[in-house]
Amino acid sequence: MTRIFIPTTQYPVEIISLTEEHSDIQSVICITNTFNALPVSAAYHAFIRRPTGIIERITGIPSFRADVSGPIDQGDSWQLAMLIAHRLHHKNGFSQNDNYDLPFIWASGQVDINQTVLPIHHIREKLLASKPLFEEINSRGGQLHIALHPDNMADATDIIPNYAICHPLAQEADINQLLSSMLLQHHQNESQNQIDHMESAEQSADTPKRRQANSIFSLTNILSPFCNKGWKRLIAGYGLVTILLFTLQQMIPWHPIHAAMEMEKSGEHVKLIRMLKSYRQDDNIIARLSFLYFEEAYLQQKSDQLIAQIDMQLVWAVANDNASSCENDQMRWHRYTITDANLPSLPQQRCHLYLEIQNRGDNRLALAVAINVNDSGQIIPLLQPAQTQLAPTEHIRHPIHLAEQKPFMILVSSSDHMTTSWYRWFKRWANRPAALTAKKSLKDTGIGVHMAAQDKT
Amino acid sequence: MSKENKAILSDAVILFDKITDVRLMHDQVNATASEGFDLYRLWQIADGLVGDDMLHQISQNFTARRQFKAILAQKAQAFQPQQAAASSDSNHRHGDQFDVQIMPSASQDGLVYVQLIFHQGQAHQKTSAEMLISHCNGVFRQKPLTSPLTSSQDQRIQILLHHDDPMLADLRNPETELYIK
Repeated sequence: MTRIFIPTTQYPVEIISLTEEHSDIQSVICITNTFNALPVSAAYHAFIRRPTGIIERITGIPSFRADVSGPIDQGDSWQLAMLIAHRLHHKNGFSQNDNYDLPFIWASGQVDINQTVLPIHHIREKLLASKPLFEEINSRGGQLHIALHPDNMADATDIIPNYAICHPLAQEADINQLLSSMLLQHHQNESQNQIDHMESAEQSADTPKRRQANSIFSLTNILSPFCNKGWKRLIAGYGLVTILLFTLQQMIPWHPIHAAMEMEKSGEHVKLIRMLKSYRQDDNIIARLSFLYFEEAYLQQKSDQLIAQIDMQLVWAVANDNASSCENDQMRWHRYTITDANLPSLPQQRCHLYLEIQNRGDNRLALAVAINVNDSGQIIPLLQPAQTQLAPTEHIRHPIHLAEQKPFMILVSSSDHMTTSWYRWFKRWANRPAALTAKKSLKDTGIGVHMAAQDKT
Repeated sequence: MSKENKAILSDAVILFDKITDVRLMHDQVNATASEGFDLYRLWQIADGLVGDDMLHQISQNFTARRQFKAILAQKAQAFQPQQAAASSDSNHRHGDQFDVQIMPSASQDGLVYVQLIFHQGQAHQKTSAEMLISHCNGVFRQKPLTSPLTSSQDQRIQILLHHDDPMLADLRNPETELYIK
């Protein structure tokens, strides 16, 4: 937990509490216990709510009520402290109470939509006006963090107390670093509190009353191996590792990933690709990497499985002993299983040519097929894109009529969902097989894709 | 001039002086007005910002109250009459010109948000609105609307009240008439 102060030229103002309000409510800053909205409330509302506000963009919450300890009359320098408070609040790391053991953040600066910090005026006056607060924090053994734009920091180096920890903040990454250190400290404090609690339990075990109780229940004997110093260090070490893992786990966007999985399961591929695209550009590297892993480990693996679930074969017949007749009893049949991106050369004197596709899985599949001829780079459709469904073990057979001996290509997609959303991408891909966008959209959203082409007839 | 004529002329002069005496004329006007609230004064009160004490005095005076209400009806930018029937939702009042939405704060510390939501075509009134006046059971109450919480995007004005504020009880009472001026 952290206490946060907004400096003014008269006095420092503490952010007492943040309340998430109903989305219809316009965000306000109130002086605590007065219910009086401050004049900066309109600017605060714009700072919170989309499209101008950044807090809704970060937290997803469109309305807040901020209670502060005193008036803030004008300006935008409250923005940095408010941003830090809201981001900590979002991670359950913000609290106000009279505890001087908590770290204090004293922050002043303007923030733009990209969380870039801009320098502000009157920084020296603000520092001087906060001197009594700084001295109070120091005398009580509190930890003071001063967060300013580097230019402001440079302007006031001579009056920043030497016991303060300075955080020059210029961009979002700097703010992230400050917040990470605050959250880590918060977890360490919690861990320390647990250790202190164990120590106090150990001390209380020495009292006659406790000893009496322990002799009755023999609890001390059971716990005694865990109460020596070595065990405590070990527990603290494991605790720290657990906290780090917990922090990392907290930063992973589980809910959006779950929502993405649900979109895939319900066949909302357009929504899914939009979500994936937005997370590919997310500034938060953990969120970006989490979604990258989700795409690789779940969606693309599913895409591969769907293609592996279908058996594709080219079937053709040639007349027996090179006879000119294509009578059934005089033909020899050949099969070629398509497993990679290549199609075999076919004999010029053949009787028939088919593409056979069978569903060898246990689930019903939606299938899209197209066959094109590559005429010196020009794509001519031989079989227009078509979508169908295959029950388990069911198969379809498409005749291929090649008028000329020109290389042809087969494009196949398969999915659990018989929807038009992905089929539109498939048709686009079939029209321009060399363009990767549509094919990528299919594969990225867990649709099976396969293309096999002939080099020469 | 005869003595009799002189006496008549003297009485006429005295009478003329009495008629044209400003103080006497003012007393006469006040005597016919409602206990110190002549129409001109009430018009001025309705025109500008008045203190709660003045509004309380008007509420105490039946004639002044009736006249003030008539003046407010003329001068108010927006008006919401009594609700036809008790609404099932006392936190929402619907009107032709504006709605009233009452929402308690999620912190449950007694703060209540009151929003005046102007309908399409009435939004221009929002920008110049200065005061919300309620009239319920003969009592006028007012709240300033000059807070900075005006957003041109969603056509609403928001004020903050304590849950014990009598104005809040008025807003929840379907018999209340509301004026925005």
